[in-house]
Amino acid sequence: MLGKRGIFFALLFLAVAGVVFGFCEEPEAVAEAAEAAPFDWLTYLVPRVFFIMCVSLITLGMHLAKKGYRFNIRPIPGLEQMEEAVGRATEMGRPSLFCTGVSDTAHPELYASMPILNKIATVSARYRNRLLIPVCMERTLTLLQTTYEEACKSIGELRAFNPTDVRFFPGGQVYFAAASMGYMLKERPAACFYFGYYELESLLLSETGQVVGAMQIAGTSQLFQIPFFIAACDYVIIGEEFFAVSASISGDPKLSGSLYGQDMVKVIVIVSVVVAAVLASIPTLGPIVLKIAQTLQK
Amino acid sequence: MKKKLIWLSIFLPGLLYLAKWLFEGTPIEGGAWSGGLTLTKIVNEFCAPVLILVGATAYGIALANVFRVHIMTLMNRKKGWQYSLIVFVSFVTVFAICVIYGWFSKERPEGAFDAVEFYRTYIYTPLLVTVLAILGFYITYAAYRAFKIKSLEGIVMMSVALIVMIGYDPLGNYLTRYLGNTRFFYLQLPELARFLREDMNGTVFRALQIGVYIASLAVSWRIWLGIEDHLSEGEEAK
Repeated sequence: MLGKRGIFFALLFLAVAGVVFGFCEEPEAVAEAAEAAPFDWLTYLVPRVFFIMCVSLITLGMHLAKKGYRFNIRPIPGLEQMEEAVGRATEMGRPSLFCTGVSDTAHPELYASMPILNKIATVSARYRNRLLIPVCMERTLTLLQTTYEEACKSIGELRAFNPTDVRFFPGGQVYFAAASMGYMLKERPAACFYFGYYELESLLLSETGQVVGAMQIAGTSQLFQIPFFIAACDYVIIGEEFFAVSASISGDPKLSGSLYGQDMVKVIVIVSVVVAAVLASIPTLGPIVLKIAQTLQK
Repeated sequence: MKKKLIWLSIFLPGLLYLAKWLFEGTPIEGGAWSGGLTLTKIVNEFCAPVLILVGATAYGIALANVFRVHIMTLMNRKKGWQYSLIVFVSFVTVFAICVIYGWFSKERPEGAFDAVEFYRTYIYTPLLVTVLAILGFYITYAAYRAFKIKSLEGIVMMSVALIVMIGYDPLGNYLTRYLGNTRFFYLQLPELARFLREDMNGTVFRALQIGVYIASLAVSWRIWLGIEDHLSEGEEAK
């Protein structure tokens, strides 16, 4: 068997081969197409090379962690308050609520919020506190339900899992928001966690949480929704911090290593931005730099 | 075994989509040498129906969840059982209007009463607008709370908000119109508001976006390689 590293290098080889082969040899079909409209090599090459560079660095970070290098993750305040929030809800005899907003299976935010659900569900089950999970997208229902159930099972508290606490509210985001607001007003959760992909429902839910007097922690990568969460929640995990949560929760060195890889990519991006800004000022290079930037932006 | 199967169900379709994106437009993608079978064709013709099937199954499961919750509420006469009854009545009514009525009234004369249109115009849209109206109220309420001056940060936020709000209003232009032809033209409120919003805010916004995109890629890559095993963890993994 190839193993994960073998698969990665095989893919990397295929990717590089594809890119190189694509330009060294032009088969008839491609040549014909090229006659019709000249192939824009820059548009093709730039995102793929950037992608390969990113995944290589992230994998390198994980590899270094596997070899024994240790990377520290600074504490994320919102994350540290989760247990306290659930404990407070238990003391008050009120449930907790976890919501992924309108996250669908195509959103990485959904997968990034699963470790958080796992942690909250574990703490809730340990404290015998009810955890309410309103769901907007039908495709995510099973994933959320299973994660909740597995978290309860993992600490031997399967009795704490109530399948009817994971509720699907159909009809799209506005109706989901309305139904969730009603659900919150009825059940009056004392701890609310909003993690995932959010749109306009961010403020509707978090303001309702304020109305019922809940301690609220939110995290999303949707930058337009962050101000609403900041206005209404006690703790907010902003932008990319949200994606670092799983590494912080699990303490798995490989995940910390991938964060190190991400940081390396960011350093390269920062250097590239500075270099590109200088190069863009040179009249002959300006248009090419601008085109590369536009391609990456797409 | 369960863990490996879950990982494979993520890895193999992911591999196909990744290969399609990497090799699109190159000879490796397929085409003449593969008898016209390209990766794009495989993805569009074979994967898309599978996704539709998965989506439909998921909707069935989700509807079962809705019925289960409300039937249990009705049977046990839990608090708010009346709402569950309304859910069922609404479901049957909308189903009847949209599916049964819609099916039998396909060849309706033009201008005749349309129950589906009636439902959409007089029930669905007003409900939608009502929720959005609540949003407007909440924005005002949140803004009031956010702009309470309690600290130095509060003063900065309030000042910036005032400049931006007045700057994008005709009042801002009116108040600082005298600065237009002087060397302090950049202190005009519309100019300051534009600088704060587009230059300062825009830069920070882009910086955050870059971080988010790289982090999204890292999460996707970890899930695809099976390193982020929160999705496949089960009894077997414990």
